[in-house]
Amino acid sequence: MGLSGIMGKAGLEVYAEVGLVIFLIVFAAVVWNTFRKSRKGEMEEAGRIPLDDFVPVHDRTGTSSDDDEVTS
Amino acid sequence: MSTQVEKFRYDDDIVRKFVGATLLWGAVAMLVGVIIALQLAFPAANLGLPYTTFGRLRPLHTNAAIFAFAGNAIFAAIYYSSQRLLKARMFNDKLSKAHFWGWQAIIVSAALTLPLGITQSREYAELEWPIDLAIAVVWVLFAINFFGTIAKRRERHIYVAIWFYIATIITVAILHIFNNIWIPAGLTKSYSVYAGVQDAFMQWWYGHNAVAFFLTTPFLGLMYYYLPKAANRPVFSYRLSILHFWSLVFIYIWAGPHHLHYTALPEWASTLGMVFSVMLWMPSWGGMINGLLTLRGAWNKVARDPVLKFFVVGITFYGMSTFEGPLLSIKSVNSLSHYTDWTIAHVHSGALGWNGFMTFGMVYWLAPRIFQTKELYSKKLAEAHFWLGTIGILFYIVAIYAAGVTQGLMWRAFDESGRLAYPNFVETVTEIIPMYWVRVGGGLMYFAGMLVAAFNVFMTWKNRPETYDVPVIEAPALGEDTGPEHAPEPELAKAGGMLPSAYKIAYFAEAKWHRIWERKAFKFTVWVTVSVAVASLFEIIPTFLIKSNVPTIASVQPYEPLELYGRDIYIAEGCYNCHSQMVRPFRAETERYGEYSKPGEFVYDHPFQWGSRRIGPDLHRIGGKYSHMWHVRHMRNPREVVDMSIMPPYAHMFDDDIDYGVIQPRVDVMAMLGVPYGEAINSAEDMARQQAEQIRQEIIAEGGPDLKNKDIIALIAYLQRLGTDIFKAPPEGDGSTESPTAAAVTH
Repeated sequence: MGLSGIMGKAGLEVYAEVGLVIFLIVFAAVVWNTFRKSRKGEMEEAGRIPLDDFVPVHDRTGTSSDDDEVTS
Repeated sequence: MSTQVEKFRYDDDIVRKFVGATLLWGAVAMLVGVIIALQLAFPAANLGLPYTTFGRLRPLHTNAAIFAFAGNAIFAAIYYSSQRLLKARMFNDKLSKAHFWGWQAIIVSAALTLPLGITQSREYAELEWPIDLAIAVVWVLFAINFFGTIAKRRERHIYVAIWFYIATIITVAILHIFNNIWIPAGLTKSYSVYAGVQDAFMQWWYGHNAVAFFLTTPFLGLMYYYLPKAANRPVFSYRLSILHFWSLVFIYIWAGPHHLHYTALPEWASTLGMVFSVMLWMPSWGGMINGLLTLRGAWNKVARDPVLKFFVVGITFYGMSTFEGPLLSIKSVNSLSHYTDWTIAHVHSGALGWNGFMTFGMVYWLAPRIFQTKELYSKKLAEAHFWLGTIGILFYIVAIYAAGVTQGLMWRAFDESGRLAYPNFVETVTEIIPMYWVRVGGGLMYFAGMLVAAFNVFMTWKNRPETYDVPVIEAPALGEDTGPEHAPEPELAKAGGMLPSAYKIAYFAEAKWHRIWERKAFKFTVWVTVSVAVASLFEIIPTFLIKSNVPTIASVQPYEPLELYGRDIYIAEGCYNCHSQMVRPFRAETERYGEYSKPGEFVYDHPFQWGSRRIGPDLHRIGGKYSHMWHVRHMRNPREVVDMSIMPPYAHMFDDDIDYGVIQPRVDVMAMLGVPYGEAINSAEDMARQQAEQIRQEIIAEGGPDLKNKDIIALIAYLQRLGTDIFKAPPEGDGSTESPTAAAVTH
């Protein structure tokens, strides 16, 4: 009996249904969690990350920094 | 504060490289697109060379557009934005360079092999096995570099754009590996381990999700970074963007209800799958609205800034294509649209409108920054590009929508006597030639815009400083310690003593787990992987591995060795780009082509050749329909037998000799894949020579030329066999109990 024969007799159909239900539940949980009121502020803060991504040292301190200190 | 402030620099050199490659390959992809569009309107543009026929160039166009143009654009987007969102230089510069040069080498090898007819013939996965291996290696290098960067990041929260990139990297790896399981039969030839229905299923699982995870999620990541940057304001709703992400990851994989309809799934699960598909409208439009509303109060900027103009039109096309996708998956719509240009129009509104315009917006925004000029060389040229591109897209898609619907309706039209109104297929082709010319015009405009962009960026590059300034950035390091904010005490617990189980429930109810989870890159990645892989497996297992889903037909036998060789010629020439091998169970199709196709007829087809577009008629029932001589004349010059045919001539098949030496190894590989080849395992070459000689004699008897050992003989052998087995009596003594009639399909 080949692989498909074995799989055919394994009764795996039910896994697809269970999988679908699990996905629906997890998805609902994520949606609920994201849209809770208490997370509004935190979320708005996270949304600003792209705008805060470029802070060269010399702009911040007014002096250029020593290159040797640079770590990558 | 005990956390240490670290100093580092971003690597923009790699971004400059990918931007350059994007523009170069974009121009190549679009040029090839214009050429093949011209070939359909004006067949002489096939040039009579084997390397430049539509069947060989069309895969070059699609692969170049997806993997070279969009691919390099994605990498440019990721390398620039990830470093800034994670506040870290890329993990390893050598890996970045290996990724860049490896990817370009893959593109070059694709550009060389596809015109040579070296192909797996599976759409958007045509590249042969050595290139597949190279893609896997380069992708892994990219993944190590990317996840390494996440690991050393200095921003605790992982911004949603990075989530989209993670989903892309993980899912594309899974799709690529599982869709490219083959056994090589030589350096430039392999056979898919899957056959027929299963191969088709696997290939379109790949195709469907490649659109989702190569052309959608990375571009959404791009949108969620570059749009706020260009507009200088945060995205309208960050929470909506999270919903957008998870609904795409969870739902997209389930969105093809056609993947579920034919499985052993019960009715309710199938229905739920359809609900998911329609649900996809919501997050997609949520994403579009989220993008567009980011510009609220900034619309005056849009009028002045070509970058924002490209983004606005790009996002609008995202909305249009994601509305149309689910629409096309509704069966009654699909019955009209499938195999017509409607699909082509849909794809191009997505590719030109969404992928192209988001790329151009990003490139125009990046150019003055990565080349460190204060401004783009010319804003006016960018404006001109915007209008050229927009009008080009409109010409293209309006004409091709019209062509698709026109041809679809003509195929299914009956006259008052109940016969096909257009029995001659070529009538439905000549009808849409004017629209093909409009497409050439629209495509040329879009291509011209691409050249304007390349020129503009080139001139910006010329204005670059002698040495690039590489500013030093500083950011506090993230402590190893996860601290109280990582294991937060539930608010409820603070109120008083709690039992451990109650504590756990409160912990769960307050969803602190999710907050931690969002910050833990590796847990997050594992979950994305699990959700994609598991959903795929659940979806695939029922149709894929369970034998009872493909009814067997006793009379269907493996191809003779010469026919197999002929089939490989069919594959190499890319015949599937214009001809389907799938007669659907509609009266309009059975009237035109013959008996509808049964799943059991394809069990020896490694790979399947169902096709996705009928530029020419379906060929599944071509076997025995015409004489050998008809095929000889048709292949030599199609217009000799079908006036107004747009098919290119295949003169080289009359010059090239059959390579008998490769036949035995190919048959052996097929046998290894479980095709019951019997005596051919030892004598494939002799059998092929005998059959070739027989067909040669038959052609001479029909008054034709002597074509001894020419490729055309093998191709004719294959075409004459196609779709005929179902009408034969099953071989004796195979123990089968099925009846020998045409309807001998058992479940």
